[in-house]
Amino acid sequence: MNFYLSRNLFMPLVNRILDIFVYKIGFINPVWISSFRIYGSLIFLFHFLSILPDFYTFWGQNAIVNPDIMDANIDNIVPTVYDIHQLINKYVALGFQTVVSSFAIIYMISLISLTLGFMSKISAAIALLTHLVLMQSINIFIYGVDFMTTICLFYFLIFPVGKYHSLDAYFLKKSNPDNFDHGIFLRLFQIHWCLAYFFSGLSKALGPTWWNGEAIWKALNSYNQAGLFNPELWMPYPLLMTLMGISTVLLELLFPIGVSVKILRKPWIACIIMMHIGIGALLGLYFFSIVMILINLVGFWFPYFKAQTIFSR
Amino acid sequence: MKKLFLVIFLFLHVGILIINNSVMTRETYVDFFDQKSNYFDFICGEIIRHPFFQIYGKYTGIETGYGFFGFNVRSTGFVINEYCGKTSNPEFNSLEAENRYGSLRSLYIDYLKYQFPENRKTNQVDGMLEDYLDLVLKNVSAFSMRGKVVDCDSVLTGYYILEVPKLVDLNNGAELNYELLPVKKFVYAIGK
Repeated sequence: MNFYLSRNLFMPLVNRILDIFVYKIGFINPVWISSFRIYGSLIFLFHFLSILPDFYTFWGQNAIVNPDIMDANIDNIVPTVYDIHQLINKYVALGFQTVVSSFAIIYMISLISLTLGFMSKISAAIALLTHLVLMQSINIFIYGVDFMTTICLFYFLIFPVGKYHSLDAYFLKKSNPDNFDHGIFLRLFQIHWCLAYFFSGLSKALGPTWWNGEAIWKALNSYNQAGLFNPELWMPYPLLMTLMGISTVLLELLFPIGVSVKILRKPWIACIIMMHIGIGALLGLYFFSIVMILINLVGFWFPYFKAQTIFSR
Repeated sequence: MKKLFLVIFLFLHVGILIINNSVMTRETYVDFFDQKSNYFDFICGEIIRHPFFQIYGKYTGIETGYGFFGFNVRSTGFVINEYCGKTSNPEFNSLEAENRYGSLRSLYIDYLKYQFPENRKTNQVDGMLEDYLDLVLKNVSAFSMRGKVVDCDSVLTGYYILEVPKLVDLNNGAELNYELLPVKKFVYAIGK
């Protein structure tokens, strides 16, 4: 009965939905999915490498805030290194530094493996879990880019990222899947970021400060310890800050429309990329900006490359 | 069947994304503009705080809202250590470490919200949160002293808000003076 229902009732509906969302969009260049995996894992690897000189300052036994204190601050949805160390020590005596270093090494190896496309699904699962454990362990020191990393690693896990330009594809000699196999995931990816930008723009639009330049002025003074420009340089140009505020709101709020209209898509993405370059340079959030630029490129630019390029062969 | 499962997953995932972000945006709006929340807000809040949503959100990363800098850009806060009358902040070897150390501020911004509630009659900070934040500051104080010669008997660690003059005031001729407003201080007595 269930099988009958699913076949005769749901399947036509499913096929109709797929028709609209996937098949009718025409040729989707698979380069988007391999670029997402390769560049994404490389960026996450470099992001992690950049903290290595201070690794034990945050994750060590004698970290800036002791691991047991950070462990006390959180829900128990994801275990921390501290929890896992406690569990292991019920059976085997292992040092805290050994456990935390093992997590770091496993995380880095899984990212290298993902870059090469070697056992992509398993590597993505390991990278996601180790990343979550490592970040949960320093939950008072995490920021935007860590959440973006989690989202991307989750998508590495469910998207067929190993089917193109990967060791998996080379060794297993898998035939390239059709549009459906990566088209539906592209749609999910696009809907996700359309919603993200829309809600980001909506919350900005509801407050008064983005319309009069105050928000940009305050933001320039927020993260400027790593920014490239002194915020005081902007002070004589209040009109410029007002314009920057309004264009940020409009770019984000109307993002779903901008990227859906063919003629607007490329200029819109170019503007969003410029916005993220600005965030990187002015606010010092370099890795966050790089990740967001990659998301825009792989989600809204690369899939529409006209023909099979050298990268997509 | 694979297609059916994929479509169901797609709708569920996008549905959760929409619910999560709508509720978070609404909650921030109510909170920021000090509006009265209604029963619908309460129900929606309960839904996104349901364990299923929490677990799913945590493992997929969609627990985060996208209202970065929305409504109003958060004030900048600094954790500053003073030792023997001089600033003595922890030293890091990488820019990334400084960024991470800077994100400690969000822990105290929430504290600030409860400590100085607008139109709320009582201070909502409970004793446990107060103790926890003190403990974090104590750890930061002890860390800032590592490898340094002990000349004084205590480190004063405080969380300060950076008061930036408004753009409109600057345009009307006000001076650009940054002011550090103390929110929370902790004295760490060395050796105790």
